This record gives sequence, C-alpha cells and structure tokens, in this order.
Amino acid sequence: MTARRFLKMLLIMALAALAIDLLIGFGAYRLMGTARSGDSQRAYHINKRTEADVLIFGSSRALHHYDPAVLEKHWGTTVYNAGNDGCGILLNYMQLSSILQRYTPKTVIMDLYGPYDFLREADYSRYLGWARIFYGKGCEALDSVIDDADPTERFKNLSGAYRYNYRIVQVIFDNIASRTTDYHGYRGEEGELDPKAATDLTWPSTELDPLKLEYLRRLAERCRERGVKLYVVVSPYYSTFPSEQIPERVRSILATYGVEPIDMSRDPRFLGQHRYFYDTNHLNSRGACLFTGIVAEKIDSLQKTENQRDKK
Amino acid sequence: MLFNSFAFLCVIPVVLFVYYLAIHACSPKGNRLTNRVANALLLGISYAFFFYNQPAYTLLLFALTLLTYLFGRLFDRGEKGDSRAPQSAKRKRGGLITLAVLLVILPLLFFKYYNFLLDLSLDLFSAMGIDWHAPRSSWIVPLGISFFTFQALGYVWDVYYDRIRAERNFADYMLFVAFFPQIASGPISKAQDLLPQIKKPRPLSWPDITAGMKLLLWGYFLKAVFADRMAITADIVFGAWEHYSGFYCFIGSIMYSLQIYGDFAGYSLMAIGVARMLGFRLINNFQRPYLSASVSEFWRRWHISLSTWLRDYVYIPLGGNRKGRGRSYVNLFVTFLVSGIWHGANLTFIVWGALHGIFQSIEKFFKVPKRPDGRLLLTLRIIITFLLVNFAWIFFRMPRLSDALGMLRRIFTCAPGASVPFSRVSLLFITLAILTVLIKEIAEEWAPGYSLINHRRPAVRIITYIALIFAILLCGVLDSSNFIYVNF
Repeated sequence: MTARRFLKMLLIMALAALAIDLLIGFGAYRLMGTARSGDSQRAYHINKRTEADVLIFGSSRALHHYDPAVLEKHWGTTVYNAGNDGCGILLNYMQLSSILQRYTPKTVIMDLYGPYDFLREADYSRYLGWARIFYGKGCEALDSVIDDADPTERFKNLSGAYRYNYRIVQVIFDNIASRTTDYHGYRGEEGELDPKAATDLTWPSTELDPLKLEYLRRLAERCRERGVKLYVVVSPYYSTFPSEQIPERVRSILATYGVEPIDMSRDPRFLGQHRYFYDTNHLNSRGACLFTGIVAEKIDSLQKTENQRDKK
Repeated sequence: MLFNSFAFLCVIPVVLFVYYLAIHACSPKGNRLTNRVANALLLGISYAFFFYNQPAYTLLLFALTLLTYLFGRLFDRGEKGDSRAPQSAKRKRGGLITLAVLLVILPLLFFKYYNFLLDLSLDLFSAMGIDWHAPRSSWIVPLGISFFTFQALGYVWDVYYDRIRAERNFADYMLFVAFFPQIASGPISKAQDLLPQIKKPRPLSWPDITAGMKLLLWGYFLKAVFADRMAITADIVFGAWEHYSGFYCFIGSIMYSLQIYGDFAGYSLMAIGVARMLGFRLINNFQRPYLSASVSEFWRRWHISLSTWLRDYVYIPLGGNRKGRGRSYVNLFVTFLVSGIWHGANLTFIVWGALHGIFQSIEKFFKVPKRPDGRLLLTLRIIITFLLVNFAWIFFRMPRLSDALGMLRRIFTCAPGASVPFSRVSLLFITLAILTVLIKEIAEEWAPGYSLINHRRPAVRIITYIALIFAILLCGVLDSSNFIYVNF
C-alpha cells in the first residue's frame, strides 16, 4: 500500500463518516420531536413544549414521588413532573434554563437528594445524557453547564451520533410504539417493599461538591430573578440513616434566596411503613399520592406564613 | 491516560505524526540515525506517558530499570557462557540472582502486598495472643507495576540462564521496560522479542499503520461496546447479589466473564495496534479463549504473555513435567497459585488461581485430549470449559470469599429473587454486542476467509470500519472507564 492510496482511503472514509454522522444527528433530532411516548418524548416535552404552571424537578425520587394529578386537583393548575432517573441539580438547572427561554412557570418544586444535588462526584457525565441532545441549540445556559461538567464535551458534541449514544434505540422505539407510561411526566411505582429486602441507606461521601452547590445557587437565583416560587423538599425514606439531609452550607445558600427547605426524610407517617414504599429509596404510587397531598398542604402553609410576613 | 480516553484519542495522532515526521526527516528508508532518533522520541513519550499518570513513581520505574540493567550486565558471561566455572563461582552467581529477584520484586511486594501481608500477620499474632500493631500503607499502587516488574525480571533471568546477551545500550533497555503502549497492562514482552525490534530500523510502513488502526478500532469496540456494556449488568449483580435470583446471579457471572475478556483483550489489541503503527509487533495476548475445549487450552489462548512468562520462569524452573507425573501436578498448581497471587493481594485471587491449577491437574490426570473429534463433542467441551472458567471468575470478581460462596450458593440452589438487572434497551445492546463478537470469533476460528475487517474488497472493509465507528459512537459506553487489568 502506498501513502497516496492510504490517504485516499482515509479521506473517503472520513467523508462518508461525516455524512452519516450529520444524517444521524439531524434525523434523530427530528425523531425526538415526533416521539409519541417514553423518555425521548418526555425529554423533548420538558425542554421544548411544556407550559405547566408548576414544575417538579429532581431525581427518580421526584419522578416517582410527586403525582401531578393530586397537585392539579389541590391547586387547580397545570403540573408537570420533570424528574429524571439518576439525575440531579446539573440537569435540573439545564432544564429550567431551557424552559425559562420559552415561558415562566409559577412554581418549581425541587426534590433534594444529597448524592446528586450537593455531594462530591468525580464525574458528572451521567447528568448530561438527554441534555446533550439540546447542546448548541440556542440555550447558552445549558451549553455552559455541559462545558463546566466536562470541558471535552464541546468537542465530543460536534458529532451528531455521539449525542444519541445509547439513546438512539430508545428514540426509534418511542416513535414506533405509543406506550402511555406516565401522567404529566409522573411514573408511579407499583408494588410493596418487602421489609426483609430493605437495604441500609448510606451515601458514598459527605464532602460537598462546589460545582453542584454553585448550580443549586444559580437555580435559586434564576427562580428569584424570574419571579418563580421555589420550594425545596426532601421526600421520605423507608428508614433513617446517619447522613445529614440538608447540610448547613446548602441551607444557607437556599436561605440567601428566601427558600426554606421542607425536610420530610424522617416523617413518622412514612418511616418504616413498607406499604408506602416500593424500595428503601422510593415510594410506591400509594405512598406518592399521600406524600404529594402532604407536600401541597405544607406549601400552602409556607405560602400563608410568607404572605402574613409580607403584610407585616 | 487510558487508551479509551478522549485525551488519548487526541494525543495519539499527534504522537504518530511527530514520530513519522522524525523518521521521514532523518531517512525515509530507515537507518541507524533514524532509529536512534525514533527510539529517543519513543523513550521520551513513554516516560512522559508514565509521568502524566503517576509523576511520583517515574523515579521508581527508572530505578527498577537501572537495577535490572546492571544485574543483566553482571550476569552476562559472553557468547559461550561459562558452564565450566568453579562451584564457588556458581554458588555466588546463584546467590546474586536470588538477591536480584528479591530487589526487583521488593517494590511490587511493598505496594501490592504489604497491607495484605500485614493483615495476615496481625490475624496470626492476634490468634497467638500477641498484641502487635503496625501502620498500614496508604500508597497508591504504581501503574503497571506487575507488568513492568515481570518484564524486567524476565530479562534478568534470560541473561542469567544465558538465553540472551545483556543489553549494553541503556537507552534501548529503558525503552524496552517503559514502552508506552504496553506499560500499563502488557502484553508482557520478552527481551528476545522486543529488544531486537528496538534496535532494528523501522521505516514508515503503510500496511503496518493500516493493520494497527484496525486493531485499535476492534480493540476499542471490544472495550466500549462489548466489555463496558456487560460491565453495567455485571456490576449491578455482583454489587447486590443477595437480591438477585440464582438465574440472574448466573447471568451476571456470565456478563463478568464476557466483560473481563472484552476489557483485557480490547486493551491488548489497542496496545498491539498502537505498537504496530509505530512499527513494532507485540505478542498476541488473546486467541479466542472462550472457544477453548479444555482449561489447559484456555490458558494457551488467554493472557498468552503472562502464561508464557509463568511457564518459562516458574513452571519450567520448578521442574515442569520432567520430574514425574505427581510433581508436574504440584508444579502446575504452584504456577497457577503464583498467577493468582500476581493478580492481587486477596484470598479470592489465590482461590481463583488454585481452581485453575486443580482443573488443569485433573485434565492432565485423565489425559483429556486437546481437541475432540466431532462437532457435538467439541461444542459440549467448549461449553463445559466456559462454565468452569466462569465459575472461577466469580472468585476473581468478588471482594471476599464469603461473597463468592454466597453468590454460588444462590446459583446452585436456584434461589428466588425479584429484580431484573437490565432494561429492555440494555438487553438489546448486550445481545447485539455478544452476537457481533461471537460471529467474528467463530469466523476467525473456523472460516478465516470471511473476515469483514480484512476483506479483499476495499468497499467492504470501509463499510465495516464505518459500521464499527458508529457502533462505538451510538452503542458504546464512552465514559473512559478504567481497564480491569490496569489495577493489577
């Protein structure tokens, strides 16, 4: 093989790969917009379509714990549950930034979970999943979070195919089959926890993560700037564990923006009540229904106190 | 800097470009000057690579290199050797090689086994009623210490046994020990294979570059699409085996068997590929091991460079099979025990090594034929071998013996459990990855002419390369996860 032949082959391959990559990037984004159900439809809806007055952010604990039907009935308004499995503050901030470009919701409820929202991690790539798809599509705040989380992402995202890593099959499936698995984003868990299968709850570290804290601060700041009422809630666990649910530093950040967290992690109505849990970390739909009602009332009472304070 | 990291993918084209430019600038056809420049460049890159990963240990690498180089010079007896040397000189030489081995393996013992030996001693003293305390080591194990120590030790032994002459050029010897494609996880090269290649001019070769790129691409596929996808399920099951049914524990163990193969074979192919692009041919470390029809054959196909090393420097010096059948079983058992200990300071590795020693001793005892006649019998033997190897991997993967036994109990008692350790999408990716690798391995084993990656038509080859690239981009786990063997 000569140098000329080698370079010719390499060039042909590079051009073909480039064309296919562009095609995948373009085609998959179109498919995201036409997805009828599933995670792709959900991700696209949250970023590009939702106009709900009340938004719920957080991890799987948000996704499975807050039933919009209960809140809609209680407040008579539209609610969307934007919680995501295994996701935390970085994704929440990106989602909120993307949404704020289109409209201003009235209320944001954020479910706080230490490992994803304020505890230190070496790698943030898990939080970038669905957000990568919207990189470079007009939301500067979203782009900057991805760049902050991993500076190499700006180069990796030049590839259209890379953005759909692991998700391409899901995007295609969500266009073929219409499976209604959620109500306004909420996915209830069915089944009851077997108390014998309950695991000990421990967090991998107690060290705070400066980047996550910064985005928690920015999220609170953006909410205040745009007049969005922010409520931070720690939802119940099946059992207690020694880790501090809301460290002092987190409390003080939230306090700066007038946010008083609602800590229900040790609420006696849920503690040890296996009929309300699907596993040690997650409520089942029965537990979620009860919990959402309690949260609505707690928010009402907080609002009442704030209103009285404002009047004074 | 790992082979599957984004940084490596950015740096390697620059390294290759500079290397080719240096070769071409000195002399396109290659001569001694070109070789010296190329080697100096490679040595600089190799030390920079090591320094980038673990700056503090660069000195250790250099010290070990210098030590083995000096011992090599000391043991060198010239072209003919000196078999008629007096008994006292032989005894002195014997004492010196013992000293050399001890000094060379001392860092390995300290970094890898200190805490393990300390814990064992403390348990022993405590059982004897003696209250004794010693500080634990919190030092990080140097990158690739097991690999470069064995490579350098093999060189010293080869010179001692007069298999090769000692290397006189220290810079060439430094490159032999620190060669960057292989320093982190092998393959462990022998001096007689690698040193002559370092000395020989390596002119720019387009076929070598193409072959290297193919190996790199397939290695990356094995790591990102195959191994790391299996790893997700394996990690879930091994991390909480108590909650999974016997069936899923078994599936999880198979996932780990596939993961470790894809991970290590992928790494080796990438190392061999990078070396090939630089004009070197490293030992092929894997030869479709899961298509072996016996555990003995498995070890001729799995981690070939370590198996060869253990055969040449442990099994044969112990007497091999020259001292009777009974002794050969003991030697085999001891060799695999050493292999287990080499992998890590944990009883689980020792049990894993012992199991492989036992399996092979049984095969030897019953004189199991190498490859049976008949497809059905061959298929059956391949499945049985895989299951035995898979059984042993459970000990290798688990942090404690009790966990391994617990998981095995669940498998053998078909224990119930509710959870499913993968989603439907993951299952699809896993199935596709397994099918791709299986078809390629079967084709290579029994129908090598059907290889798509080496097809005679350029169009088929290009389509295959592009398909692999997009399989990596769309289906691969692209988080630059660590390689399992980097920990050893």
